[in-house]
Amino acid sequence: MALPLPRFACSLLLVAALAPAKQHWAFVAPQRPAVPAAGAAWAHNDVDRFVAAMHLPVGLAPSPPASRGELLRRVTFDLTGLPPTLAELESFEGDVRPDAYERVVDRLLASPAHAEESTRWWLDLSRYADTSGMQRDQVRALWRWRDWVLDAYAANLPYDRFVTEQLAGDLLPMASEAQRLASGWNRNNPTSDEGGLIPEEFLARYAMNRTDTVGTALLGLTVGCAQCHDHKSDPLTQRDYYRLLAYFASFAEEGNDGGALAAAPSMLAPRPHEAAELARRKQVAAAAAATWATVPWTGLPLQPHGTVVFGPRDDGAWLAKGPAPRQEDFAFDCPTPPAGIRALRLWALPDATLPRRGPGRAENGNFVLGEIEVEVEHAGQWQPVAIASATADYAQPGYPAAHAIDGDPGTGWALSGRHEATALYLVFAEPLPAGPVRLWLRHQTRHAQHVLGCLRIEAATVEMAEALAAHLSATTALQQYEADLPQCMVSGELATPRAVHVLTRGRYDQPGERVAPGTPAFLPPLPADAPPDRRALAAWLFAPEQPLVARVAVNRFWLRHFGRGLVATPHDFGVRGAKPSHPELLDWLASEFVAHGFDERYLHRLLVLSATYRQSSVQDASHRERDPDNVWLARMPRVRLPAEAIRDQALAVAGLLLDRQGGPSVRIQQPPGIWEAIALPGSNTEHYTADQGDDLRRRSLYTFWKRTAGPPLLLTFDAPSRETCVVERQTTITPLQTLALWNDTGMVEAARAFGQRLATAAGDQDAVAMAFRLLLQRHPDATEQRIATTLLASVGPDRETALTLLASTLFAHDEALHRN
Amino acid sequence: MVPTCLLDRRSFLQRAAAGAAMLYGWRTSAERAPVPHFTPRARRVIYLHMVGAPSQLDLFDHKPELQRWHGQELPDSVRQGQRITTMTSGQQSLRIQNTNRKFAQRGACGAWISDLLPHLAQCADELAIVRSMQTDAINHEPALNLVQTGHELPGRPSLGAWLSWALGADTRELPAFVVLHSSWSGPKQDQALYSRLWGSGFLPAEHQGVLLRSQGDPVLFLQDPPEVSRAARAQQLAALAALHESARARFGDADITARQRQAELAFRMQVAVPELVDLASEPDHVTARYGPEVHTRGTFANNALLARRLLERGVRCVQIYHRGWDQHRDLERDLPLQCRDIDQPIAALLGDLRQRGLLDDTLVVWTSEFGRTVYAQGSAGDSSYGRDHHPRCFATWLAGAGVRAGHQHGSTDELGYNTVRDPVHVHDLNATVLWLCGFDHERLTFAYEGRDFRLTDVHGNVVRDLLA
Repeated sequence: MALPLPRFACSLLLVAALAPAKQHWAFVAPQRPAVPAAGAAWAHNDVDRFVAAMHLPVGLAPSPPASRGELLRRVTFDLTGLPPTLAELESFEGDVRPDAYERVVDRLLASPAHAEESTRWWLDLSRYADTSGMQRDQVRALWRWRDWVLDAYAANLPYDRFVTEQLAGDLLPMASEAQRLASGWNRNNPTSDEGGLIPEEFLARYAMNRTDTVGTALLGLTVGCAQCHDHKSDPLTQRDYYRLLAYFASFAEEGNDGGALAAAPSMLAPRPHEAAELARRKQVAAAAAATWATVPWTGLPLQPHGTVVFGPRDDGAWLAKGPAPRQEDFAFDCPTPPAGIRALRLWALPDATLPRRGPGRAENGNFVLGEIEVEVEHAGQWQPVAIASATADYAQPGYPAAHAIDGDPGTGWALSGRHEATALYLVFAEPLPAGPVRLWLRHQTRHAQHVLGCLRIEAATVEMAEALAAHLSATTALQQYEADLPQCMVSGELATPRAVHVLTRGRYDQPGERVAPGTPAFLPPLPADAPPDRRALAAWLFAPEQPLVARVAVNRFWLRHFGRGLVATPHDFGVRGAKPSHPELLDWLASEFVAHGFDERYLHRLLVLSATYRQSSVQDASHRERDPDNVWLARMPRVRLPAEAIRDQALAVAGLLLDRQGGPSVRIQQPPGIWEAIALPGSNTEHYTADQGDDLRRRSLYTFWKRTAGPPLLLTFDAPSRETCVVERQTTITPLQTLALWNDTGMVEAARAFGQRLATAAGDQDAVAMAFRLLLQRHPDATEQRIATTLLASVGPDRETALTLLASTLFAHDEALHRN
Repeated sequence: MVPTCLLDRRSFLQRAAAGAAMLYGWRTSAERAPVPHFTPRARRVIYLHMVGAPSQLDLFDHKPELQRWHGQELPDSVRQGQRITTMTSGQQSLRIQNTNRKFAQRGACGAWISDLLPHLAQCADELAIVRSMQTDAINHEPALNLVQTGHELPGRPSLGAWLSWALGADTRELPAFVVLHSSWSGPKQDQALYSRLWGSGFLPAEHQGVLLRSQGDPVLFLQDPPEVSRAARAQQLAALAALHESARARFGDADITARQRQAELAFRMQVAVPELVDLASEPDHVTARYGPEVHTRGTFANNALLARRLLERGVRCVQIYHRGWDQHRDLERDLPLQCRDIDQPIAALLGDLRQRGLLDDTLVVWTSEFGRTVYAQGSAGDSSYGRDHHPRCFATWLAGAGVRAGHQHGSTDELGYNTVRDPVHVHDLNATVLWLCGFDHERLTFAYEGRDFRLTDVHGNVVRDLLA
């Protein structure tokens, strides 16, 4: 009896058996193959010649073309994620021109819905969500990045630019706002705000998530396998992994995201109409500021009056010394003021000697100035003068400047969180009479030590109330407008990059060799002068000798239209991934993609115009016998609709779907308690309230995605959790799917509206025919007509109720959940 | 003939779904039912997870020396430079905090259990208590992932999903893996839960845990709209069956039949689930045993009784989550409340299972994601003190099928800080659970993205001492 080998020896043998690494097909740049001569009588384009060349050896012949209705359903869902309308169906069926189908394809490719469907695929790869994903799982702002993706697809941005701007838009020379926005792609990784987390540990995780995403989405490599050790089957070393990771390790971000809406680095990301309004407001503010700047101010020669010891600073400001009093009133005198003072300007100034740089003396650097009083000496008596207004460049919410002259010593002006020079303006009703001036600053609020610590006082003798009001109102309006504008998380580098080490067993606290950014050694090298940043990585991805990127992309397009990739493991082109079924077709498509400037729309058009794509999907015995998995494409596969399309189809046939692109994510109807059951109390995603009105009828692409409790209807139909990059969704068949189709509130409403639409038909026969035409793009056969009319007759006399039940029955029909 | 290199999991799965999978009800597209590697001891599992981490020093790990050490600084010789969370790493001092609980030896086995768990203490001879549990993570989120999915990063299948995949369902009316969330009495500012903790990861999605909810429909989308009668649903189902038969003939796709079977299962679940959660058929002497809260939906007591009912109906794995155990402060106030939630119901569940003969082939696991520190968070001696996260040692117990009842496993140093004997990593616990269910954790693998994945990643050893 043979002794079993020790386990390590087994794995050594396994690795040896699987490692002809240098020669692995996917790591060698594709050569453009010659187009085979096969399929001359059948082919619409060169794609078909490659497919036909494989039919003969396996003894299969192409299927007949699909009916027009079947083909239209197929191509409309594949290109736009929506069903065709009745008008589109009738138009196509009646179009006898030889290029009728080409016209349909071109119409679909040019539609906004095509950009939306392409975006849906990209969001899965990009692990996009609307919350951070850990601990409190707070709302995060990345939807403006998602809108950038929509815009990019609508403009058919070439794939190389599409990827480059997302990977490194922030680093491009003269980066535009849009390019910076694109770089939000890198920030889609889940982040945490758990108290007590160790920042280094989580920063390492974030970088790993980005690295793994680049590996899976762009390179088709399971690079994550090399986090802990050299890759078991691919020639990717652990050192390669951390060199790749080093491109993503120095974002100017915190390990703890703080639960922020737009954790830094982030940008203000107004939409076009908002950008126009913002520019207008900036212009108004700048004009007002320019007028205001012409007002001449002169410093007042002062001497302190009272118990607090103030000393002069070199620049003429006054700085408090000694221990901070709990509460304090003090004053400054100006014995010889200029004549005719109309306004005073009180600067609250930061200083290094104050807590947190001041300008207040409280622990947090704040102050609350309770009351300001101005007096003028006349005939040996100090007489109070009337202050018309008090305004300021900035005030802490709830502590406006006006509180400093309201006669209530308990309220005042404060600046919490602002540690820079800030001015308060006092405008007098009349020019001050001649004589020495005294300014009282009273701090008698309940806030201990909240006393102003550094100040300067200036005077103006010209009329400026109007200019001041205009300046302040324009500035405040601008600030308020900016505060409500959308933000977006984006990429941005630290001035000094973080040190990146090979992490022993992937553990952040076990650093090994220090590494610099670089690409895997077994792939073509970077140029010698490549900078150590993401720009260089992007350029490398699209260099002519790059073997993977174009193949991985065209394989994904193939998956989208043919239900499986030419490489059946679209996430893994490595040694243990599947071999391509049609290697020459894959390489030919990759070279077409490159030759056409990475034009995605060209590729989609090429694929869906092929005769292969136009075949029927009916399976016969020979198909099942010889090619059960439809590797050789002698028919088209039936493909389960993605979750989003199932809901969108119901809205569309019910006549409810609202066609409006982009914008903040929408909270659709979902059963109560989904968020509440698991959320951390105090999270801003603890309670779910569905949006109202129109938004509920928008495409599912825009559904708000909480990572720790995703939209249940979509999850039931295999939408991913959006935590890691997903290239290909699962398709399952579960009882919850039927329950969701029948009982989800949105589906119930859609069935009701669909039923009402069917009620416009003359009789049951017509209503059934209409239902089939709208939902399945075909007429019912006699059996189906009989089944449906029997159902209508059996469920009661109320016609609309009966038609609603017919509608929901058909929603659960397998054919409605597929495109054939 | 298709070259085998092209036969990926998915296509294999689709073909298999057509035939054999039909027999298994819920398991529609499971490619192969993994055959047990040896005779299973446990045919089903109840897994009780105390989210937040109960203090083992106040419940199971009796450390009389703490009286003497109370208020003293944690010696560096004990800490050994091990990392602590940033919640206490900024604290000026790490002072030892004594426990104010009364410990006693319970049952014939003499297990030390504190006075906070008086009912459970009476079941001491049923339990195998591990006081030397260890984990790698120091924060909740990664630690929860690790113990539930075998990996700190999200995305792997959960223990229950593995069991659903491996064991299949023994019911035509319910899913194989059911999850229950419990209300709790401690502070509400507590750890979140994540649906990924009972997710299926890369296993087929039907193996994800189905949440049996305590508000609204017990199963999502279960309730028909009021205007749709049960009879109308039956008519729809019949029409759908006829339409599907016709479509099957048209397209020749076996999945169409699978979809019809699942629709019919959904229809049965609509009756089975409400019946399941309705406790009217339980005699008073049974409900009384679980305590006064048993009739309140969502309480731990209610969930404990539901767990038994689920097992009786053929569910393989029931997981009950109970939150509120993260006592960073006010441990003296909140820990007793938390214990009261679970103590009587757990004892009742063990007794109930025992009486019905179910405990012989049901495994019960009680655990958490980590333990708590011997040093105080806040000021030691101050009445509002708490304890921080501690991955170096914590307590877990197992009971039921194949478990060495009464066994006391592993021990910690006199401060309850480091494990000194028989450490049990969470991977070891998971390996042991799989072993009891008839599977070698190194051979129960699923091929995904070019790798054979296991629940225990590349770690784990079965803890033989825990086995009867």
